[in-house]
Amino acid sequence: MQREDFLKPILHGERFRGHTVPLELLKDFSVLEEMLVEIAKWKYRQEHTDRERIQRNFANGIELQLAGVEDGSAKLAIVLAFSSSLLFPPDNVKYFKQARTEIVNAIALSADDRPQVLPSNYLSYFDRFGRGLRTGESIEFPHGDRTVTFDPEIRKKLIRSAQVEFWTEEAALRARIYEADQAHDSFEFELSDGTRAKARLDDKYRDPVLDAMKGYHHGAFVLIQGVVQRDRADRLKGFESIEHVTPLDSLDVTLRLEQIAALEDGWLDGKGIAPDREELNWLSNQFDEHFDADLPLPFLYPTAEGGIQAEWSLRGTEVSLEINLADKSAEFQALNLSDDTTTEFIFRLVEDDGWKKLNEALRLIENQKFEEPSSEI
Amino acid sequence: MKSDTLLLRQIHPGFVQNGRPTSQAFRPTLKDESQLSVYNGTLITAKASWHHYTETLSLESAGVMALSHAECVSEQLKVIEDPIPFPEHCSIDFSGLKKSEIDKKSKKLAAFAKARDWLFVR
Repeated sequence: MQREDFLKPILHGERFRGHTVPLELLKDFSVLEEMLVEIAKWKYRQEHTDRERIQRNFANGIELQLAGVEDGSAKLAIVLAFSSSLLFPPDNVKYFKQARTEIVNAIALSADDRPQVLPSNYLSYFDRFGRGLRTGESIEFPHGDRTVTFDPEIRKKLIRSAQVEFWTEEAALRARIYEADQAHDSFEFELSDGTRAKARLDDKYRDPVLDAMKGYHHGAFVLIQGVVQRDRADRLKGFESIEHVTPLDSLDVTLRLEQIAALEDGWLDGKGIAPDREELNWLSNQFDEHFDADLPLPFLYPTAEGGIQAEWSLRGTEVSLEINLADKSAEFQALNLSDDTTTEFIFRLVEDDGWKKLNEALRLIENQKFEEPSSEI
Repeated sequence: MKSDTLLLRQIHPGFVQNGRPTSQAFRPTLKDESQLSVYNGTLITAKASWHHYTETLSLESAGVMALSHAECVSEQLKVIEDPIPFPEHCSIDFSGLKKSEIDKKSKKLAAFAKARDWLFVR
């Protein structure tokens, strides 16, 4: 095989630190190759209007390969590889290069909210390319002497431009199962906000689905991970495919914060302020990332002032953490019920160190040797 | 008021997770102006207080928990019998306390109430 440098996209996000790329994201780049071939054919047809058909072997001997991950958050080195039986790169390579430019240009147009040039049937590939990107992650493409950023929001705009009826995305949804039809291998689920949809029941997750259905009236929730289908108004239509169904802890933090996010201003008999939804997402991600998995999960409640109060009852000690979502500060108070002593700290949850100190303070109570955490607070 | 008089507290549904109330339910909120409203349990049952609260006053309650007068006194909290806006109304007075003291006392009151368990659940 002969190889030629073709594209060096840079992946940004927590998952790509240490120059690594999750295997699940590689399938997105496989879609990129499909899109590239189809757009290259389109460019060929534009130049050869006299030909009705594309050569049957148009893409033969040409393929995209991942040659390595270079320095940077995770910089992919994608090369165009040609069959070693070819003495020179095939003529069609120029259409692949034009297709690359068209794809990056489509991303740039979307980022600038300008009209698309690519026909919608090619834009529809963005339904599958970029599907594995999570919130906060992006891919940076070189574009002439500048770069363009492709992220989940830009992807949504591109899909809208493609005017498809439905689009898909990878999702992890917390849901209750209210119905299962074993004869037709399907089940129906309900999200915290009341949205209901249907999915296929497969043997690999049949047991957790049926168990969750039995626990419906006791508030049993499961985490369903897979690819969801949405309509053009972003409404959930159902799961296209499911990878995992996992029972959730009754104190699951994300689920509880989703429930709190449904509150409206005035929720406390006309007076309570509803917590900001973006800030609740932030808190959910922070808990996921920083809260020690060995510690008991907290009970979570909204506060009248628009914050969140986490509480633990640990070995005769009542602990509260009143979180101000606006400035990310948290007032920690632990009351030992047997001797009435209290311990108080202020933690800064916007810093990793704030979470470390919280974990340490809780661990000290768990171990019943309550004293000031070793690090300075 | 006798020391064993139960003071009935309505718990807002937002202040309950998996049946556990937050200690916030036992401290005054912005609307309470340092006074925690309760019903005098010698004058009304837990169930009747819930009906009064949710139907006559049109306020939300997931159920009723209680503190005794003696428990409030043990936390140096004065209980005021103030039959306004209804005859069974009493207030637990948190005025003059710093926030950290209010938080501490609310934890103690919540612990007393949880030990007694729910008196009525909707």
